Amino acid sequence: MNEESYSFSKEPGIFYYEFFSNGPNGRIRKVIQFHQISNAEEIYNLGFGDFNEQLGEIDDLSVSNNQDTQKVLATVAKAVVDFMLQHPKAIVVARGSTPSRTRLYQMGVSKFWSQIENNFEIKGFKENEWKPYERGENFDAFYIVKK
Amino acid sequence: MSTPKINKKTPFDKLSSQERQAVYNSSPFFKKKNEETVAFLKKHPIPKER
Repeated sequence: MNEESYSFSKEPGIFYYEFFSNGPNGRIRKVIQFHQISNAEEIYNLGFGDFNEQLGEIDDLSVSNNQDTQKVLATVAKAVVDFMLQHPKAIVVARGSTPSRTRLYQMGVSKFWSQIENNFEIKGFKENEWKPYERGENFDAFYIVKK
Repeated sequence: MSTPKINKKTPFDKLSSQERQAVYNSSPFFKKKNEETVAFLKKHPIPKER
């Protein structure tokens, strides 16, 4: 993936990634979390949001308006790919906390689809079933697995 | 695995990775989101044959 992105920090055995968005609204710590939600299978839920250091909480509903959406999406996509390469049996599920957030994830998938489709399989949930991902279709949720 | 105790006076940048992960894991947003996804997958399981 050649798109401009932020460099992220991570450590072995720690299932989160951090990076800083820099823009007109300052330096904002972003967190990407992979939380295992099934013991039977390696299913991880993708969490992504701004970290408010004063409150010590993640805020997914905040709109940072840091004029770097594409760069942030590219960073999240790279973090997902990095995680999948380290956890080849993982199934990563992505659902936005609101429909607009899910669309944002969809934008990320769409943007990198041609670069990842050979190595990863993505399915989306729509009309009560999981279907192969197709550009231009709106889905309620996604999951990604390594081929 | 025990959850590390977080000293709230410690600047966030000085926390260890495990402590930061504990902060993130205890974030109400992530908790809610994970619970919602578990409920979603119970209703709409990922097919075994992929």
